[in-house]
Amino acid sequence: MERNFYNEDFEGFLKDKADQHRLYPSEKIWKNIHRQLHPRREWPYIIGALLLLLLGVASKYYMDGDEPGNSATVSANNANNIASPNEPAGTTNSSASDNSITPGKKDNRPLSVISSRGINNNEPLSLSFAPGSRNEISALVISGPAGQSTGLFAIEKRNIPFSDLIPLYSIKKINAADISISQPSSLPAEINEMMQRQHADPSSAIVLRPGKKERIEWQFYFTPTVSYRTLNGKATKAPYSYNGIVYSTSPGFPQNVDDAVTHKPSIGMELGMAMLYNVNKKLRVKAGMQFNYSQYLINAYNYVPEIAPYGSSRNGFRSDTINVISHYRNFNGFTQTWLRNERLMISLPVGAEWTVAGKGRVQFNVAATIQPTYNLTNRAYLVSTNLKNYAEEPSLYRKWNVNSALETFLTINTGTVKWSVGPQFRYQLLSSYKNNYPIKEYLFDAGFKVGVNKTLK
Amino acid sequence: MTEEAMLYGCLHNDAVSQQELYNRFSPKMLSVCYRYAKSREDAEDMLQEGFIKIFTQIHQFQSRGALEGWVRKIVVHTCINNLKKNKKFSESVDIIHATGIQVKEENIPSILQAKQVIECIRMLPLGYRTVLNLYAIEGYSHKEIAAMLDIEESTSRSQYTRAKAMLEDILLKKNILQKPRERTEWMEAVKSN
Repeated sequence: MERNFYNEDFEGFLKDKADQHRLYPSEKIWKNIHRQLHPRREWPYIIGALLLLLLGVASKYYMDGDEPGNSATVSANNANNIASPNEPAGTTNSSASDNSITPGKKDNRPLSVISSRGINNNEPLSLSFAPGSRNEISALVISGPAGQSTGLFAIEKRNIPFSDLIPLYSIKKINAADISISQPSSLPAEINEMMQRQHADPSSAIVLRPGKKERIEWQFYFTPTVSYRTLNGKATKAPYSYNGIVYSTSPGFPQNVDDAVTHKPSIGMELGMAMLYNVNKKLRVKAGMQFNYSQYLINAYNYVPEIAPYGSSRNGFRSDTINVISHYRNFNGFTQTWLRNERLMISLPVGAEWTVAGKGRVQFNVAATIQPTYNLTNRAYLVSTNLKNYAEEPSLYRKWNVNSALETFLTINTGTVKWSVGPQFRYQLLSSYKNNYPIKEYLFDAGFKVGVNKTLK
Repeated sequence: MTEEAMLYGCLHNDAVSQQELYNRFSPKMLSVCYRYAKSREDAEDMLQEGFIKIFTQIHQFQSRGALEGWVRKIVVHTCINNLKKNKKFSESVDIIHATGIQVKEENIPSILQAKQVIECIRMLPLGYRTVLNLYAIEGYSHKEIAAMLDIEESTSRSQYTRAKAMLEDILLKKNILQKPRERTEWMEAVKSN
């Protein structure tokens, strides 16, 4: 060891030794500084939260309106305007403009066909329905204020799913042009029997037909996934300099990034909602919003801080090397560790669904979407361009990306809702990192999607 | 990246340039903080605070001087401000007769000489250490130190004298410093040959 003779320049000796000394700060120090200097923009979170809240409220609004047992108040302000039961079926009463139904929810769509009898002038009535088997409905009952049955609304076509009946009792006002009469005698025998059991006068039956098929559906879905990535690129073996010191890369290091990196998949998830429009019986187009959480693990080794190269950045016409202090080695380090790369993304998927087979309760479908994606949080360790080290370098992360997804699924219609279950594959179309980082990473997720569809009324 | 490009980027709040400046100076500045701080964790806190000041006040840097000197000045002032918040520190710099410490050789880690010297400095009482750091290493005058630490100039001088003596003793015991041989011994050694 060098010995220093005790001399008068004690201060000079101390200064020399102090200047030679270096300590490398831990990674979190730069992260904290970066976070303070560049606070995360809050608006994507606020907009996302507001959209979710809005869509949640909207979906609850529509779902509340068609629960079994819900009732709507019926009032007939002008009995004279209500059609006579003796009129032949199919005729229209055009003067029932004041006849109104005031349900809990606003909906101005017209009732398809209705005839009424037994509704007294200015008498508020409630509307309920008699469920048949398998969540289907065969009749509606009008009750007076005291709960006394005053009439039976029988459905001309038997066993209609609840979903088709929603417009019948959620309307605000009957459209006079749509009112017509059906002869009680033309009702099916079962309905007549039911009316007898209800002690209702068959001549007071109001006959309803299902409304038009609704075209818009809401879908909510959750997909547990397995997240992974593909890496492309070759090592850059050129020497690099930092603060005047030139560093070289061992020629013995692997050349292909795939040969040099050890990584393994991990569990992620997808949560979202979409609005679907039925173009026809087989084709639906859809658009929505979803969150994706994706992660995978990388094998690395703890090591003393080192300067590592990470590509270059443009500074006007000049190109500067990006050097980062790394605390991890890809190989030949001290102790093994698994680094976790994780991302939270928000996407706006737009695409289409196609029914391949099935016409009844169960159908087989395929779907594809394209998903503009924004990275909300990004915590990722990048391998250095010489494949020697791992470090975080936020300036290289791409904020916006595009993903695509392909899925096949079965839909099972239970009457009130439609369930969708099936496998899904999602692939990132642009590299996770900017173009000045020569190694390309493409994330992908494979998962099993579970969704529930509700028709919008 | 050149220093001009880095400074230009920092002035425009560019994260890459800021990280470049941080990477360039943080190892040396953490060493500075470590000499003042009680622990490595405290030193990192001081470093973080110092660099945030550097980036938020970078427009005040006059290109006439060296960037490192300006960075160092901010870091040292950050360290001193942190120490002054500590009541024990205020008391320690005002004590004229600091209690001596017993130095055992095994207390000093034998790694590298620069590190040994830093560790020896850190063995000094806090008040001694601070004055010694400011005077001997940073090059501040006793008048400036007195203003920085809110003490009398004479207190700074006496603190330094004692700190120096104590540090010399530590360094000698560790054999990092060696007293020069007397001239007569050398003459006799020559004669005997």
